[in-house]
Amino acid sequence: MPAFLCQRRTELASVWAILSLLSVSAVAADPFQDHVAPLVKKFCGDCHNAQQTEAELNLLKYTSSAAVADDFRQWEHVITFVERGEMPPKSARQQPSAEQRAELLSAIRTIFQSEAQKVAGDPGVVLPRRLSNAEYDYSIRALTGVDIRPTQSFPVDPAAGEGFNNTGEALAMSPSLFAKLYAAAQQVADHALLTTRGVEFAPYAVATYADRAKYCEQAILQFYEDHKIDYPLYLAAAWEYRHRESSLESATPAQFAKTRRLSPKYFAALYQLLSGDPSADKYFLGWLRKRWSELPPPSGSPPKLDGKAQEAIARLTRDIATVSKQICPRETPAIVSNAGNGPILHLDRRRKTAAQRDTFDPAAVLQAEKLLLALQTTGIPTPADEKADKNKQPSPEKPDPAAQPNPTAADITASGAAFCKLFPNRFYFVDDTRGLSAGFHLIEGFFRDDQPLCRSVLSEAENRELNRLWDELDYVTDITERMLRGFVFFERSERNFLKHADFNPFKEEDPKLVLPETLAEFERVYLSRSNVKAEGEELQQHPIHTFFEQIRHGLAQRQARLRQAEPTYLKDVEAFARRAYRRPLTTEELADLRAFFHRVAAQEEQGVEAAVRASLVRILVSPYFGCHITPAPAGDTVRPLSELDLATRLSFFLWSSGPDEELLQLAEAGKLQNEAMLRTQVRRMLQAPQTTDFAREFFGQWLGYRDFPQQEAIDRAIFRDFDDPLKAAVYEEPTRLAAHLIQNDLPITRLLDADFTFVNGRLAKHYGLPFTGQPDDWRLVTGLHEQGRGGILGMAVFLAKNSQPQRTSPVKRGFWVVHKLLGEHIPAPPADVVALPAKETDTGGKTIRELLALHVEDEKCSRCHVRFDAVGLAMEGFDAIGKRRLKDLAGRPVDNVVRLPNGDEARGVPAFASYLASARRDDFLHTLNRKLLGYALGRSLQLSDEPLLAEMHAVQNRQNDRLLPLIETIVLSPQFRNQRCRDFSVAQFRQQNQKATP
Amino acid sequence: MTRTQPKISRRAVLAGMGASLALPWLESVPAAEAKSTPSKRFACLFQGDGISPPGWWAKGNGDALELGPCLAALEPHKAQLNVINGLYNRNAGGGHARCTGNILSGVALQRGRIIRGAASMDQLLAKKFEEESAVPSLVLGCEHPVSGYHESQYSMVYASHISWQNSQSPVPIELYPSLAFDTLFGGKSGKLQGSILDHVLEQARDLRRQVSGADQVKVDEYLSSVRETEQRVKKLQASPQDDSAEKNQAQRPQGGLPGDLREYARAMCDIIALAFQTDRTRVATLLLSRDLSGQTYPFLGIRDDHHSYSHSNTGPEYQKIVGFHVEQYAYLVSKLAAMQEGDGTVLDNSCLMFVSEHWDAHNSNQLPVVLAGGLGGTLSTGRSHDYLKAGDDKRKLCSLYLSLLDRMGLELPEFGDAKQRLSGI
Repeated sequence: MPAFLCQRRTELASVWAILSLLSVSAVAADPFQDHVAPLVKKFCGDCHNAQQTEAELNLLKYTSSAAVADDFRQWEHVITFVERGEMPPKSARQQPSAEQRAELLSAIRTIFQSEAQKVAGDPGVVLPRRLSNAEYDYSIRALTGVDIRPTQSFPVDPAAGEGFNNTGEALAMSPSLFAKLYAAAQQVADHALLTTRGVEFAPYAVATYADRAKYCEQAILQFYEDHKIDYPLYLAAAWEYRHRESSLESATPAQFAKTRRLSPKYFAALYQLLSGDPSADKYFLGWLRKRWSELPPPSGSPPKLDGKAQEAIARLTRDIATVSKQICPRETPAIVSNAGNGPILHLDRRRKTAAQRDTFDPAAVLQAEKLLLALQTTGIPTPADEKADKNKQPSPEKPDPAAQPNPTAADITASGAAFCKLFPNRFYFVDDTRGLSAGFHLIEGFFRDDQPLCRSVLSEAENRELNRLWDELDYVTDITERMLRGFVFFERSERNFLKHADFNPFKEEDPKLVLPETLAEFERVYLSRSNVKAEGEELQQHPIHTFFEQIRHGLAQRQARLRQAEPTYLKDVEAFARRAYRRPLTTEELADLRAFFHRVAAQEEQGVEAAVRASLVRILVSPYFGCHITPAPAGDTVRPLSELDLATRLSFFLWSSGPDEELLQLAEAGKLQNEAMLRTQVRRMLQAPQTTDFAREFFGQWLGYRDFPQQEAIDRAIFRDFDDPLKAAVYEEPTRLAAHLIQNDLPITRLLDADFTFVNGRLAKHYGLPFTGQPDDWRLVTGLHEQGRGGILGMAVFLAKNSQPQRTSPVKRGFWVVHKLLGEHIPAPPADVVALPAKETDTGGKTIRELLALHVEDEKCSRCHVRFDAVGLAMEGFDAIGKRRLKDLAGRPVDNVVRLPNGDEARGVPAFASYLASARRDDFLHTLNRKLLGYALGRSLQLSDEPLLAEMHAVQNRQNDRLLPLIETIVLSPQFRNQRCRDFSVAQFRQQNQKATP
Repeated sequence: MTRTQPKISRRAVLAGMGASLALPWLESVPAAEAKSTPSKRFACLFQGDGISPPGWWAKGNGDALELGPCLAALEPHKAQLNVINGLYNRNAGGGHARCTGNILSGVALQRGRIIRGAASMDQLLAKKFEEESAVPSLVLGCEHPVSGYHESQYSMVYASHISWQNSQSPVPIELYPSLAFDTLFGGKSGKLQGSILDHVLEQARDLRRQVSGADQVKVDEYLSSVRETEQRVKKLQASPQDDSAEKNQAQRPQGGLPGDLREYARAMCDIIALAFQTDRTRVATLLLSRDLSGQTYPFLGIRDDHHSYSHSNTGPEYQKIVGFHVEQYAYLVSKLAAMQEGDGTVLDNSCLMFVSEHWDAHNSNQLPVVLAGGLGGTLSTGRSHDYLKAGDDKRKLCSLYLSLLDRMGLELPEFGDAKQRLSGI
């Protein structure tokens, strides 16, 4: 049987239960003096002494049980080596008998057990530390709602403790890092946007006007896109509604529309219009209803829109558009490129166009009969009609229908009006190149042109939302003042109109331009230079007056909004501080923050916006945000963590970022240090999306893929399939699987042998799996075993990470399985190792297995390599980027057979993974437990944690290896919920502990 | 338990710093480490809407170099000049906006709503020098940026910005001379930073009092990091190089925007001169007037605005306007020429470029370019050049940039539309 498959030493924790049954007093009074010391001296002392510290280990320096317990990590290795028979070495002068080995092992374990019990639950030393890069980024995301990731340019965090970077030992602070943190804080502050509602954060920096405008404009464009009316969609839905099944009989059109995510308002109006009596209207509605009633009915039940009906709907859509085009008012060009056009007239034209989009053009009355005749006979207007349409002039004014001598005209008008209301020439206008920009040469301004959408499509709430978005755009860009100044520049420089001396007092750059008296005077001069003599009502209607009114209104509105919004900025900054500090601010802190804000805001060159940004920077560089520091309370034993500290500890454990509002409120109310509540919160938190962050940080660091984005060194000249999208996908796969197992409460051992995983389009292609979603979608796929994959052993990221740049590496892959997954301690290789060839084609004719066998020839190498080399062969069916292969790069058929302890052979990943998940389950879980506990506590484990580890394993056995109960066990443990006091003394603690557990 | 500390050199850490770092991180190079070769600086002064061709010429070299009337103000410094005619920016085209946002990057700009260009050469230099200078670059302007759209559908954002930090965002222009000064000497952000850092220190000290033992060591680590940063800020604020703080503070311009363009331009030039003299920054751009400029020049006895006159750019009014811009440029040249540095002057170690996006009214078939300064002896001066007939591949503005970037230690295989250095420079 190969040595690597020896069952691991009997795990300390798993014999715990048995040992615990023995009364401590039944064992000799001092197992160290009686058993350990003599045996060690006799069998180990020749090499491991003060002079000759073989393997940097002096075993003779220990003088008591307590000393052994203090250095229990080292003694665990002693157990491992003695138990395996690796020590003393074969070459040793004398070998202990089997009984002596058992005696030594039993004595060491007894020492561990009794010493551990005495100090069980010690919270240990949890050093203060800064946030890790990942924690910083996630915290920023939680605080701002946008994923800025300011630490991307930071140096990679080192790891310590149980191999994680969330420990004080690992995370040091330096002046250069502080400078980076300062820059990061500024970067975050640059994302702050001062809106009418308060401080928001944009996904990109919005410190410049152009970026702010883009952000607000984008929100409106997105809204339009989300609410656009697609006639075929609505007509098809109306058709389905008409022929709906009896079960839907009572559904109103509005209710039906909701199920289709259509506008209930528009759909109801449309359906009402369509389903009216065709004979009640002789004109446009009559024609529409007739066409509607002629649509082919469904051929079966339930009604399905078949090709015939679909075609008919497409034809109807086309005809509706044609009619709409002919009877709605013609659009004037929204963008005028000729600089000679006066902005005021241009605005006036646009205003009229915008107001009439869904009205009937009275000029169309004259052609209506002809159009209707054409529609009723051929169904589609002839080209001659199109031409006639082009000649049609938009009538400047609407004739009063009542004044029409012909009563038919009134009927036509009424019919047309009803038609145009639902089929306007456009629902909203967005220019292809300029977006919402008003389109007068050079002058920055926005023009809102969406009345049909607001009138006929949007609900009240949606209208409010759209109004708000427009308000936001106007407010954030301060557009009215900009437009006014641009107007003055343009009218003077480009149109020359303001070059007259009368206009000399009105200057683009004059701060007083926006004052009411200046504007009034400006308007007066402008009217007079334009020879406008109008007064009273006529003046009120005049475009020049309208323009100035609009400016006045815009300026006043902005002022009002500013007055309203400004106090909210400070409030938002205060709320930001509370979330950032993970606690309420003290009265002094709050007063101090307010004073700072007001001081900066009051400076002429800074102002409110600068005050917001500076305050955010100030909060983000504070140690209360950037560090975990929990000052120790007075006393000499342990105390429960404060509610707020517990909330922080919990959220950094499960989310790698600060507590959310719910946790903070619970903590502030003193409701968190409570078993039931902690359980509830753990469950809630693990269902949150941030569990992905936990999976990435914990499993990523434990399993060694967290640094793949930075460390990947694949030779892309050889592995041409490997590109950045694939790199991103393989990196994400294990995190997705782990989060899925947690959130669906599946056994965590499925990590080893799951027949399913998550892939996106790129990864599916890489794995040769069918994929039906959008390329960027992630889908759960099953049936991996058939593909030779399954579990993490078949995941490309591990296969690639544990390869050489140009070839696979069974050595690295095997080491990864044995060391990372099964937790075996393997010392570092000596300095003079022989390197394997760089390429699979350079093996001098030997097979990979033969090459590996060379390791075993050298005793110095074989001691360790026999434990993992062969394991790596199980994964030889995948190349260095995790692509399945039948032959290696030298053309040899792959050899992926591993011999198992029971004599069976495991061929490839699924069979070997199944062995790991069953026969090696305990080793895997013990490793997981140590890692998870170390990660949760943010420190190295100590002997006093052993009873908790034993409890964790017991929970696993009861709870089917699910992670949730395990995490609950940790969160409820004393080491997680308590902290050491300022003058902590082990003796005091031991005493207290013994009193508590007699 | 092993404590693993990555071996990261301070230099590597600094190299990873983002451009947004406004902390004046490195204090001025101490006298003890005084460099044997002075650093090289680059500035670009921009005039919008082109020059006046009849008066814009130069011929001959060395003592025989003659300057046209528009360049008259440069007469005293002609030994330090390179007057370069005939270069062009292939992706510019005529008209407005589309030829200014790329004057220092040479890429084609995107029309319409999406703003897209490329990082400008001055900002590449800023990035290169950010470790070595207190302020990576100064981006100044004497005219408000505008937005809106030109009738060609190009955003006017392009017309207002020559310095671009990346493809999407221009570098915000500093319009206030006083704030530009504060940026330089740590006043504006410095005062704010000082106050923020004080606050952080106070918090860290409070924390230190609350913790004990090993915890204190960790808090101290934080404390000393902040303290060291604060010291640097203070030092920076206090005394740039050998000048006393008072002397520099005395040079701080008044707050607010100067009403008179003459004062305005001079104030900005003074700041660039001071920045270069003290080696606070090595890169500066100054937009004297934007493309499609609305500047007015009542002091020249003309009433209309800049752009209006540019349509008749051979007329006396526009000649005056061009003359005014060249005077500002000459002012900066003379200031640097009067600043002793090593065996020469600051001008000898700098390259000051004057450029406009047009040549003839709204046509950018060629561009006016003047360089002043020897860039540390790497650039011969006192010359005139005309590349107009050299062939389009041999007269690219970006080729000139490649040549200049080389001399400043930033060697790029290509830049903008050019892959070749400009021959003859």
